[in-house]
Amino acid sequence: MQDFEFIVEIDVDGNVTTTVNGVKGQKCSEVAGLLADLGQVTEDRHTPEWSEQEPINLDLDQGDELVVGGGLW
Amino acid sequence: MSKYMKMKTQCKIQAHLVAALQASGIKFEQAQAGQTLTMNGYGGVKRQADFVIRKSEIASYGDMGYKWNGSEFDLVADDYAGQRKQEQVIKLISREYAAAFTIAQMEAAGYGWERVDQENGAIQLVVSGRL
Repeated sequence: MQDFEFIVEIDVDGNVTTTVNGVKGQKCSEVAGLLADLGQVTEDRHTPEWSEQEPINLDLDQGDELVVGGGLW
Repeated sequence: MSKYMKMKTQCKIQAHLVAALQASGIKFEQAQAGQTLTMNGYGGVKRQADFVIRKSEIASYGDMGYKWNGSEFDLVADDYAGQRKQEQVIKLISREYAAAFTIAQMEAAGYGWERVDQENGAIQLVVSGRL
């Protein structure tokens, strides 16, 4: 789980600019996507942080076997 | 920051348009379901709309309104230079619509939000939550 902050700026003309902070990877699109029906998107871009993967927390005990991949070697 | 998006607001949901009209503080009329209201435009031109703000409210030559076109509410208004009050009202309603839409979506998703009104009329909504 990641804490995020989503800033929605509505300018004097009623146009909307949004930025998502604190979320790495494609999850930020989930938040921004909530406004998809608000209007016509005129600009949509990702920062380098977007392509970063969310860290995976593995809860392993001593002796557990970690298998990466699933194919035959 | 990981995502940046700009949007031009379109009024598509009636409940949010009503909320925006109410938030604007300007007196408006709403047509009964399945009916429209007659607008009195400049030079006696008559047009129909679902929501009407009379010209006396906006110091204009004609009424302004919003009419459903099947996918969104179109603005119906006389377009003359110098209708400053009307332009301000249109922008105000657009801002309040965007705010009402955003707040409803974020509350439905279970996120918290805070509204900050800027001196120039712009609105900032700060949404927070966990993903």
